[in-house]
Amino acid sequence: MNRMRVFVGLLVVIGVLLAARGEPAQAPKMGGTLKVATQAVPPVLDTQAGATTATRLIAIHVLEPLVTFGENYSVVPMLAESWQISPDGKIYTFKLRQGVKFHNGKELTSEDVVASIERFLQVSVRKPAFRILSSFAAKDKYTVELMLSSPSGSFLDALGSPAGELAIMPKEIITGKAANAFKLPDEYIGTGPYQLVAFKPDQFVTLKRFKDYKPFPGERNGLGGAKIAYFDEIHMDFMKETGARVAAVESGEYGFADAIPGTEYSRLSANPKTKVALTKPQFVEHVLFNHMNKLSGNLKFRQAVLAAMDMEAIGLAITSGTKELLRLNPCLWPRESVWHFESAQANELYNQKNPDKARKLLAEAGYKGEQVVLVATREYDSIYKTMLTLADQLKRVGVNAKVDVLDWPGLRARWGEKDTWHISTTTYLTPVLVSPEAWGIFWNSESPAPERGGYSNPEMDKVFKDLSVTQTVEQRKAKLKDLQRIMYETLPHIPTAEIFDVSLLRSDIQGFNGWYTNRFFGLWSDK
Amino acid sequence: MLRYVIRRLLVMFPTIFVMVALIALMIALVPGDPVSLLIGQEASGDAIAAKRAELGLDRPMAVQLLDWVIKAIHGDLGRSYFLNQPVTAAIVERYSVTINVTFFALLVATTIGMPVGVLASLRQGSIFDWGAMTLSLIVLSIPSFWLALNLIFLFVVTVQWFPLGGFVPLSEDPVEFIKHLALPCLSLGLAEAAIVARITRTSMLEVLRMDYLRTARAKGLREGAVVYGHALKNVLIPIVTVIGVSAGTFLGGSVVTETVYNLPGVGRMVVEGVMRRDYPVIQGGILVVTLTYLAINLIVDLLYLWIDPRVRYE
Repeated sequence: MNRMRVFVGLLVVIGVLLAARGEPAQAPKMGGTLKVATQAVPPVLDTQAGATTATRLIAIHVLEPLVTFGENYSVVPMLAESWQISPDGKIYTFKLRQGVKFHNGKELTSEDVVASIERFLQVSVRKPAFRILSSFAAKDKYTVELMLSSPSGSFLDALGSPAGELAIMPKEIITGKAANAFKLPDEYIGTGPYQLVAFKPDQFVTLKRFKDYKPFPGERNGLGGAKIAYFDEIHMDFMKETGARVAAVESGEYGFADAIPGTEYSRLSANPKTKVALTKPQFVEHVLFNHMNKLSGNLKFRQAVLAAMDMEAIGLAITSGTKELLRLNPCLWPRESVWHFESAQANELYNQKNPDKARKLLAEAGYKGEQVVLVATREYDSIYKTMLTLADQLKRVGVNAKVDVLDWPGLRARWGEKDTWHISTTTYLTPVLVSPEAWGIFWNSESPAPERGGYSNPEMDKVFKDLSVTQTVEQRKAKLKDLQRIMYETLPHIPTAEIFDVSLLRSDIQGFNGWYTNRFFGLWSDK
Repeated sequence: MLRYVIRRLLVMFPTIFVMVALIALMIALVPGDPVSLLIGQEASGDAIAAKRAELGLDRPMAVQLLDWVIKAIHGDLGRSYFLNQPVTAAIVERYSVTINVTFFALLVATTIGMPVGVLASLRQGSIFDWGAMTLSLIVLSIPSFWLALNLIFLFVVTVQWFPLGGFVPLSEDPVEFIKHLALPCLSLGLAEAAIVARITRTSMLEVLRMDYLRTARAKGLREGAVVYGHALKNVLIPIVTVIGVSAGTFLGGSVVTETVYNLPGVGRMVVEGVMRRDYPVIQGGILVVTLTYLAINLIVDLLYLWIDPRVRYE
């Protein structure tokens, strides 16, 4: 009996010890196909000529730039193994990695880099960011030199930006190629871990593992580091219907689906067949003002709107009441970014929820109950819900608010008009993650974007000008603090809550980490 | 009859002209253009202006329209801004999907709807009649996206009999072709079957009371011959009318079904063209949808001649 007890006791101890060890970390497995259901429909694949999110999702798997962005949004090497900046800040010398192959089997050399830059300057939608690039040349087979007309703090950011990326492609293909003129899939060639096999506009894209891919040493780091293609093939279906994307993963047929609504978060979190992953943050709704209009061009009126706003309520409206999917952040840069900082001014002014102060400011603004038009679109749920919630908050402080709904192109056209709207909103965040001064689209008086709503401020313009020649991280951060200070002082627009993106994975898919853009390298199936 | 067909074909021209004018008016009135959607939010002002010039959007609307009409007469419907292919090629590619969906959805509708309608009329007031008509009313009341999503939940997520969506051509894999089309056709066909069943029942009830059927029975004809040989033939006109209208609608594209099941059909293409201001797709797509409606109308009118010899077109 005693022996039996000792034996059973030993079994229990062994069991407990085994359980305490936990699941052994599984080594990534090669092989299989990852089917992806994505809402993003790329209008074109030519990432040099187009800066849309959907184009980027495909390009980051196939093409690579000289430098790119790490997990904390600082610049890291990619096809360049290192670079040097001359003491006057005007000459950038890039040393290329040796032995890197294009998908057509040719080795990457400095000639390809020069040809890619030449073509980029012809077709890019980001040409203004490269105005300071005065010349560039191949110094030897693996060295490229770029000369600037003036020192710049943001040139490396521009060089590595994944939106409208300066992707390096083979010289013989890219030379003289007009925008979007690649023969697909044969001419869409880069050095990335996957190569393009098929693309049907509006339908699907298929990528296969590039067997000669030379990964960067080390771990995966944002869009840099080691980008290992574990899946043999990635097949992305462009699926606009949310319910279909969810069903795609729940059925087990697909391994990944993006842009899952907050309403599904709890249910899917409890489903053993699926895993829910968050990207923190994915976007922020920015309340825009029509500065050309007398009422909304009045600072006191905008301050009244800010005083009335409840950011959490707006965030909850967007996430359908799911608290886990939002975060309040008065800073214009999220905590995950190297550019994030704390500010007493921002902490005081953001999320005031102060109706009395709002009413007082409205009176000071000379508001007499005239109709305030908020314009929205239903095409982007977050825009629509932000405007509905804000209209409600403004009504509570006595504003005669009305929401006009248009389609997306119609909304953008409306932003250019003077008297037909006062307040609107747009979804924005990712550009400032990789280019901290990308707020210029809203605030720099040189910006042609309708989102600016006619805002113009010489002090703000000067900070942008200073930023363009400021080089060190510390100095740039000081200028970014100036930008945010002026933003809260003059309210060209108002940031609301940070919203997280929900992605859905089949339970066997491993290695996913929600970030700036979804990445399918580094993912594998443990089935 | 040939003269009638020629006359109908000639009448199509003013209809098409009116449609083209309406499309042009719509494009001129609706604000927004495709450039910012095409090249992204970070595009510079110069890039936007250059793209507008490249697409010819900087020209007056009347010039753009005239240019399109002249090219359309020569069979060139322009090039889509977003699909990276000529609109004609895009329409041909997507029409094969739409035609297949339409054909099989109508097959589902008629094979379910007509027998149910006939049986319900023959057993008027029975539990079957009551049940079939109640069920048809329920199916008709269900929004198409809700029915489609529930079919996905049942057949894709739960029992996993069918794939989620997409389209596989018949020539590529006949089994996958059927599997991929089954749910969309069922979604569309069930609602249509409900309409066909109700129309068939109502029309049959009218005909079944006619004297010539009493005479047929008095002659000693079998009930089957009475119902299918005499009664059903005389209710075909309203049924064909309903099916013709549905065929026109389906061929114009069933946007909801195509979106939920991720089918690359004509309807989805046109609607997405509108959402992103892909003007050549909007103009070309609507032109083809209009022609389809006109053609279906003509076919249905000609079918009347075949079904009922008393019909005469002057």
